[in-house]
Amino acid sequence: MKSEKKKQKISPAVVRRLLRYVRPYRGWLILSMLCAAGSVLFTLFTPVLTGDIIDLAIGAGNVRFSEFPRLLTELGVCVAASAGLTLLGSYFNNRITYSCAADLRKKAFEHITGAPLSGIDRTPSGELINRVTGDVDLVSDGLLQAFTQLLSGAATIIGTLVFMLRASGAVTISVVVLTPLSMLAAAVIAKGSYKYFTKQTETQAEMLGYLDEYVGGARLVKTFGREEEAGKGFDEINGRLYKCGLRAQIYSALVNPTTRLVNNLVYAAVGVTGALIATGGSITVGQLSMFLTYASHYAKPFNEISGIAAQLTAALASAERVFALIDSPLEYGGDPDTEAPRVPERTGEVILDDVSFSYTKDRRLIENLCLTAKPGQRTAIVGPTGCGKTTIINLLMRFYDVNSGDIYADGRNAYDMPRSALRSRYAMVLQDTWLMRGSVAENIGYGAEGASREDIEQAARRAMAHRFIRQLPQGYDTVIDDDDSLSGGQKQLICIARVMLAAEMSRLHGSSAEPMLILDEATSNIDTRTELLVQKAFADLMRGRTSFVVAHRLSTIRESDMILVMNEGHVVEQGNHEQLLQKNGFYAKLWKTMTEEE
Amino acid sequence: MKHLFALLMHARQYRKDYVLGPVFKVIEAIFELIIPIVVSDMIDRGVNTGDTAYIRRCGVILAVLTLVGFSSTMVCQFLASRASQGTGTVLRSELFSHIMTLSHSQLDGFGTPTMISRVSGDINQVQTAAAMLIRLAVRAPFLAAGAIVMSATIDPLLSLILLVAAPLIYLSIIGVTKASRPLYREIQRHNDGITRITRENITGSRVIRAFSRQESERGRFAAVADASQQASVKVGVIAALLNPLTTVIMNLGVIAILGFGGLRVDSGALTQGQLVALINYINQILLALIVLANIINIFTRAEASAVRIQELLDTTSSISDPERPDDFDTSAPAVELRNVTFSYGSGDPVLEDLSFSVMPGQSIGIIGGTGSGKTSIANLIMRFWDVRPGMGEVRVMGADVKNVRAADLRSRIGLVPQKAELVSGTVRSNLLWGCPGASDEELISALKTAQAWDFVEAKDGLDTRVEMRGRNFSGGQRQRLTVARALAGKPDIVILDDSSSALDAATDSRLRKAIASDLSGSAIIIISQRVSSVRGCDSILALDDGRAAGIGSHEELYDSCPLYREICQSQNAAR
Repeated sequence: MKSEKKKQKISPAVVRRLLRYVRPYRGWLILSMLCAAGSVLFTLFTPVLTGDIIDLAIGAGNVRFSEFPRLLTELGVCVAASAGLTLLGSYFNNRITYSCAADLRKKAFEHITGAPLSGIDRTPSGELINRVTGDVDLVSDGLLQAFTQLLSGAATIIGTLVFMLRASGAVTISVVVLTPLSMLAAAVIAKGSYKYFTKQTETQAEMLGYLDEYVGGARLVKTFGREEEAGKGFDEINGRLYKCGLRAQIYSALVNPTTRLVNNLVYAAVGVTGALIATGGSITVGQLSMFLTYASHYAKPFNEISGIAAQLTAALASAERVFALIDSPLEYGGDPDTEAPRVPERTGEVILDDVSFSYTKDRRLIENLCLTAKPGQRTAIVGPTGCGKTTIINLLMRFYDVNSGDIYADGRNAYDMPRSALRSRYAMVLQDTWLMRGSVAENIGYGAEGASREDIEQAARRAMAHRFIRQLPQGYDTVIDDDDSLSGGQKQLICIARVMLAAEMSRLHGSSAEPMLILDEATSNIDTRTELLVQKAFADLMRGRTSFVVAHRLSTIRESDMILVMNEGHVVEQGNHEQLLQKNGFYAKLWKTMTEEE
Repeated sequence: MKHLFALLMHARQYRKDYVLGPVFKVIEAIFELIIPIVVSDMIDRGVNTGDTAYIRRCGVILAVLTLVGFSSTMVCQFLASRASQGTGTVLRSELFSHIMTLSHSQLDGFGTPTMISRVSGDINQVQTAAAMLIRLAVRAPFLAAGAIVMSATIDPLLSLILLVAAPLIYLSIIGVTKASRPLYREIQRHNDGITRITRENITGSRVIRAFSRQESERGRFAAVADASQQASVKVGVIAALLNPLTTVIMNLGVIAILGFGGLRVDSGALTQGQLVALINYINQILLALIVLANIINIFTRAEASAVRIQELLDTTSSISDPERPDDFDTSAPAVELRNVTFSYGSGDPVLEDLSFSVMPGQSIGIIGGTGSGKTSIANLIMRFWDVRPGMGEVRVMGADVKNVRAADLRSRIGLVPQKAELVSGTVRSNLLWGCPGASDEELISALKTAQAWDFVEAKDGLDTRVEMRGRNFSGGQRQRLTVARALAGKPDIVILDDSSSALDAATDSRLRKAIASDLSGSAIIIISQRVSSVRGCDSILALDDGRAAGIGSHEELYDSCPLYREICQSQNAAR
């Protein structure tokens, strides 16, 4: 998912790949082409008619009025037809472009929801968000320009050539020879600008990351009076953005005047050549006027193509980044195809067999861990902070994959079933709360489709969240966010209600589908009086279920069937409370300090 | 365009560019207006009389006009790039620093995503508008008006057709723009949704996967993406109406000029070459007006952005520093609340008639349930929020917090916020937040006090990398690092706001003991839900729904305060 910094050329592979997204809409594309051809034809015919009319008005007392009505009517029809077809064509183009953009966006989003957590955890969120939003916007802008301008541009070039050749070969040649100059100029400029556009987009992404961190953490900045330093850090990135942005802008600002210069020179050349030929009488003044119009018509597509060249290069640079995201592996890419068994056998047994894992190669964490949680057993994981307790949960849920060893859930190898099937076997509450923007009711009902308002309120009551929810401005319909509008404890209560509801619903819908439970410091922010009540609800929930509890509260630990004592990534002791106390080892020491405390 | 121009004034150093740029652009426009006259002359005096030398001379004139125009444009383009990019840079920097000055209530009011999009997207819009202002805003109307004037010099009667056509073209442009504007807003709304859902899916990746909701998240995303697509197509088609519409009007003009022009030529009032020139001018008007429409579009969008930016800039912090700050008195109570009643906004009071004080070297524990107002006390001491006049006083080291500079106040206090967050950098750079200029020894000693040195040392010591928000550390590690950050400067007052929730009891206990012995001269405020965390304090304040249920030592409260006793019992804590 790292952005590729070295590539500066437009790679044809990126273009081809982008075109693959257009393929489903080729029907529209064909229609769009037909419209472009038709509208160009009519557009190009107007100068011919105009020229004819001009030739009728030779001088004072020498105007042939009889032909006027017919030619003027034809002119009107041409104008109307070309306008109609242009409109129709742009409808098709918009349809194609925005459908492609939506497809691309959905595909990129699929990788946000499906990429391995190791990638998500490591990539700055601003960068990921930008791929789905800003980058796709740039791609669609580029595509739209490409379709509207390139299609009609190509038709215009061909059509103009045909019409011009019909009138005079010599003048046509002067047009054809000179015009590529503007393309050449544009190509040179585009080549130079690509580097700076890439650099600019990268710096913008960096700035977004900084903003995310510092605007999101503005409270922290104030707490420590770091406003000035934060500003300095921002200005440093801002300064770099100025430099590469200025270069990119100057380059893109070069394009228009340069092509206009070439076009004007062509216009002058055509005017002079045409005028010289007209004096010989082989073309009329009307035809000369037609040529002058054509000279600008013919140049216009080149003009526009170069005008959008910068936009296209930016679009391709963005497309490349979006593709990089899309190319990242999906975590379930390697999942076995086997669907979860229709009636999952749920024994509730979890076995970790000789498991080793580390987040980075250079720092070993969990080594040769063996653990058996019998059906219905409550396993507590204790140990000093940072000893790897949460890592075990990452492995159980397959948020991360083991380096070696096996994990069995419900008697089946966790790696022989789709991740979703594995995860559905657990209900989980984490210390880090997460809520989405939506009403309280929607948040509680998140994991349980089809839950009624009553089910939701019932779950909230059991999670001791009902009272404070009722105190919110709109009760259960209050829109909340994952920000600081609720306290940490309140958020945890909502998360607990969410899991309770999910567990309840799955119990209702299939008696054998009682999930196992994972609680990672799930009540750490809740006051103890409330917690006591929540614990009671959890105890109900845990009855008969296999559960894993990362906890620091004595009562929870003591009542567990199995206690895993971890230190520095290793399980140093395991057993029940009494056994461990008898051992008089690490746990006994831990227990002593804890009881002294409480 | 009021707000847009007001914003551009912020970049005064580019004033010259904003004036000179258009001047150079107008020079080019003048040359462009002369071209049809030269061509018309070439037809009448060259072609129709057979004077080839005259035709060649005209060709040279055309080439020279073009080249001079080009050089002058290039100057303008450079000035425009410099000025607009510079303006954007100035505005970004200003807006960012401004956000850093906003108070907590204002930060809450705007919300992080809104503020971020104003610094990035909205300023980009203004920047684009600034470039267009220099490059095209003067040139386009000048060309349109100039073309009408030039045609009037050729044939005043026929120029009336141009005079009618130009406003019609302009009106149709405005009409289309107006019709599409609400749609653009709709697209913006959908795009905000796209950003929000993406963000939620990143922050909530674990929960979403745990519930296997990826499919429905994709559905939710697809709904917004499709809505955005439909709105975009709709607006695209309306915008696409513009070109055919204006071309039709222009061509009707051409038909009129040809029809009436025939009569004028017949009567001898007009030459054939001049007829060609008139048609050229109406072409130029159309092109100029289309450009004008585009920049009006850009300006409209930029103005909307400017309004949003200005709104943020106009929001000045409600927490202002006094002109003559009071002095701190180290012998006065370190923190004192006198009859404080406080509520957020217009809501019910979170704190009611609360009074307590803590002397230097002493500690106070504040205990209470979720939502009992514990964190609000920290917010008031830090002056993140102000107590309304007449609703009591918050004093720190003898001074009312409203009568000292906020920066001075906060530098005296080491706050460990509830949310354990770090910023990307190294452990050292994070700790230096608490005490700029501290030596490595001081930082290490702060880490030792915070029980964090062990795991920091095991990595790369003070140079250990910290990723965004500190997510490469566990919750407990993060908490201890935030404690170390607060302690680094040996502040006069330490506030620990539920800052050991992720720590096991043993670590928590060691932490509190170390703080007590290493910062013996400081006043310590421990906010917690755990009896074990506060029972060792010199006094304990038990909070019940914002009111003091009791103040005293552990034993005193256990005997006299039913709420406190209940809390103790819920935690198996003995008297």
